[in-house]
Amino acid sequence: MGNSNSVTLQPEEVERMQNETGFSASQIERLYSRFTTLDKFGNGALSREDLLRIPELAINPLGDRIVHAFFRDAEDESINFLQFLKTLAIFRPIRKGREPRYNSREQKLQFAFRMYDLDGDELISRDELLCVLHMMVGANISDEQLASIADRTIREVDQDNDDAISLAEFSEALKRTEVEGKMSIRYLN
Amino acid sequence: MVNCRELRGCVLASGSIVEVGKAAAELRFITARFRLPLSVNEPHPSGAAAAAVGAAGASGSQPGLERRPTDGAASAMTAPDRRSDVPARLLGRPRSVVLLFVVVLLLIAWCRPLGAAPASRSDVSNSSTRPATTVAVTSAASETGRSHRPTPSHAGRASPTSVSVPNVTEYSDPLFRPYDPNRLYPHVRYFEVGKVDFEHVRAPFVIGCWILIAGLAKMAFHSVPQLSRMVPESCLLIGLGIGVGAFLYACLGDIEASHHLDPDTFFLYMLPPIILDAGYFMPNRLFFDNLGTILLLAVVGTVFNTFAIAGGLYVVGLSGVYGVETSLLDIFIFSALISAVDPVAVLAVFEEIQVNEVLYILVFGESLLNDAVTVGLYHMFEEYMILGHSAFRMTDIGKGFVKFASAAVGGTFIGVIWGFITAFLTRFTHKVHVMEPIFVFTMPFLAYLNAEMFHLSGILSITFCGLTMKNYVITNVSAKSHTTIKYMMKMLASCSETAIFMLLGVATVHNHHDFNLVFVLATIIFCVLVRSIGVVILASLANRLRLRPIAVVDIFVLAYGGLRGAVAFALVMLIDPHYVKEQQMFLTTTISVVYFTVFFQGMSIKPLVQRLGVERANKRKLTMNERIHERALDYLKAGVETIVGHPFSYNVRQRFKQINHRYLLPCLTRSNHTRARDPKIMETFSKLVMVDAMQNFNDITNIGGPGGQHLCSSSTTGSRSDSDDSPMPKDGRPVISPPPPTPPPGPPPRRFSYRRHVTGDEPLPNPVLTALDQLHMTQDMDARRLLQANGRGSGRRHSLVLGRRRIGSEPSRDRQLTEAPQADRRGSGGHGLQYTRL
Repeated sequence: MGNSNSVTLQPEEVERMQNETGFSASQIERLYSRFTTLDKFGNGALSREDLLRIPELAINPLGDRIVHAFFRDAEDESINFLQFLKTLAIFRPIRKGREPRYNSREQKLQFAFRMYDLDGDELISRDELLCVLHMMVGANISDEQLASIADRTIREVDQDNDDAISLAEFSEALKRTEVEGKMSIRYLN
Repeated sequence: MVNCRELRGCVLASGSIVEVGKAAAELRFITARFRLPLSVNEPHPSGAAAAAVGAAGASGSQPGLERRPTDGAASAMTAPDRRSDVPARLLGRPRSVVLLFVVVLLLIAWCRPLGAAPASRSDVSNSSTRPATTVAVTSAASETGRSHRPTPSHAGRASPTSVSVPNVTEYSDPLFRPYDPNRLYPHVRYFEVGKVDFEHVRAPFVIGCWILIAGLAKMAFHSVPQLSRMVPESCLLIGLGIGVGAFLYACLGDIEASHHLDPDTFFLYMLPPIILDAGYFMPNRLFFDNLGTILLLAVVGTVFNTFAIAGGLYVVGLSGVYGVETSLLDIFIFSALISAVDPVAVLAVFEEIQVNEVLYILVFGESLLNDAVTVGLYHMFEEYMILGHSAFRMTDIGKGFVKFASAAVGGTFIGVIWGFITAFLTRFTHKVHVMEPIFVFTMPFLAYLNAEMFHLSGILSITFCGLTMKNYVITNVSAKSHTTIKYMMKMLASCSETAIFMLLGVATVHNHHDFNLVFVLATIIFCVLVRSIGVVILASLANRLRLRPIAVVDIFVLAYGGLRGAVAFALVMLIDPHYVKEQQMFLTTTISVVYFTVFFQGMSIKPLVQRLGVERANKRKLTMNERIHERALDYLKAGVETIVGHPFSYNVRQRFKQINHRYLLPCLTRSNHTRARDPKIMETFSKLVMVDAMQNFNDITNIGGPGGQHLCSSSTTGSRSDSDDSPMPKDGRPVISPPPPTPPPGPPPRRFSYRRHVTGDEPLPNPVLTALDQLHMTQDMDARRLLQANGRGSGRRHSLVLGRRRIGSEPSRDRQLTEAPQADRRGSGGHGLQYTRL
């Protein structure tokens, strides 16, 4: 990858980011070079298009949603490096004996939840779920089947009978899942 | 087919099983000579028992012979009707059958010294294996014989008296004539009515007996739950094997170990089923998730083990405590085979203790994959040995490692190729479903042999063959075939496993042991020590890279679970004593190590796991949410890795999925029923639906008096029907149906008519769901009958429908459907009809 990027971060900046996100200096270095590679126009911020341009992400069925979750908090449809880092910090592996900063189980789950929650109302509605299902399962399954799966899924966890999955219900549904592993990435040093 | 040496051993063994207290040689002698008249049409009696009963009748019927006073069955010669009911009476009393059997055998044995064949006039017709020849020679006799012959279908019922005496008297009296082996063979003129020809059926019969004993033993162990809870099955089987071995030893004298557990038979016939089972049922995802750690343990670990054990043993040997001289190369060969963890032993023990899945896959994967290393190292050292010290060059070391790498890669490659071929073949078997399992069993076996042919790792080959073909085979074969495959595979594997452990025990009992206590102790100590050190180092290394580190207790169990087993035993028997002088000592040592690990470690590991609080397996069925969200998390992880630009990442899986979906699936599977990009979600869904249906069925059949509302309230989930088409949609839920352009008119399809592999409205291509649907249909019928029997009117009908559909607890929904009963009538497929005809 474009590792030899000349634009470097100031040491104090790096330190600040280190404290904030928990990444090591070399990891930040590496991620920054990735960031600049992705940033085609070199304006110090990534837009949705920048991310969607990655070919592997284009074939990822949920690629759109992942990008969406990245830009959830971005006001002007672009994220700077610190925001980028903070989002990625969610995927840092949880290490024993270390205080999780952004990478607690709850935060990981919340990020996953955002992937579904398109309209940002903190609820996964039936339609939103159906949409994700559609992306994952593909077009060859009949819509009724998908709809029945979605219904079944919601009803399974829907405690307050609002026909939607709230974040609490979401984490309850995944309480047996090993989210820590499934949502952790080994960042290279 | 079956290896001669093995057979010989087995025959010797079963000889004594058949003939209680008599030597097998004797039996062979007897059976060769006593060609007892049973019936013409049964030259080869189908079952020994039947033959023996017939023989009893026959021998008892000889008037001229001195015999022990015969029992009831045997003496009944003149009354055919009476004799014919003997089997029937005997069948009712198993003990008497056994007694009779024993008596008959004793009789047979006892009359051996008489010299002649059963020495009766009717039996004069001695031995000819071909009735046709005999008929030509003694046509008169055969004519009479045939004319008098009763229905010969049942050996036990065949009447020996049917051979008429007058004809026989034409010949010189064969009684008391000295035994002449030549008389046994074809050119002889006597017509034979029947005979016991054990030689003829010996091989399969003996094998059958072994399997029978193994099966009985297994059954017996499991009928004593306290026993099977305390002691692993493998230990019990070895124990039983020792018992049988001791018995054989007492009866037959000393037999070499290789007669019982012949390495060739072991590697070619007994091992493949177990490994195939392991590979076929391997949890793919788990395996590949942990592949790195597994490879580290299997490759680096085993190499380390081999060299460390060899080094240790050699260094200790330098001090001369063994009392024998062992060359470095000898030690290397030995340590190559002793260092590998044995898949059979590991499977047998870890199946029972049920540790968490990661730990399980680590131990188990390691034991499978280290075979390549073992085979590679073993053959490498063997080559060196054959080359001799003089011809040995340093480059040979390099070649050895190349060989070992090629054993692994080549074995895997061959396995994958054969796996794809199998998948491809099953694509075309839908016209002959009965043939489907054949391919699934034959092809991996061929893959195994193919790899062995090139001295590659057969175990890797068959593992990967099973692993590769599984997913495609499942979609291709019919449900019944798949059930057959599953059971067959389990059965073969557990058969082999049982036999292996038992034979391991049997092969222990012989006179040739060369028990070198110091060497044995040194080996055991080094095995345990080196394994522990290796695992601790490698696991902590792996932990640096693993996202989810291996817990400390898990590492301990990993080290402790390094069981050795039959593979090492078979390999040590393969060592040529010509080259390795101390082969016998190695053999004994291997047995000791195997016993130590299987008995001591195998028995103590379960309490240890409990004591240490090792995380146990939590077998759970995924809920719909878990399935969907976990899948989404996978994509998420892959996506984030892409964004980060991870060089070697989760994307490999996604990439494979893509290729699989685009190229492999269309090529290897039939029709288009797998086009759903994510069959697993579908699978979970249909499984859950199935569970619901069963639950509901039970609810319905269990109702005493309560009405339909009660039924419905017991259900917790609902079908999609209420959501889409209900006249009163629940508030808060948008009535849009986002992707579907045309919401289905009329009622939605019934939940359980959902078909896993069918898209759209095609007729069922996959029999899986046909079978399911049939089940539902029967349930429907039952439920209907029940309701009719209870005299409930049509009012109940809707409740039934509701209940079956698990419409859920909201009363509003119930009302909806009771108000719109005609909804059912338009139901898709036959199920709707079932209801409307109520």
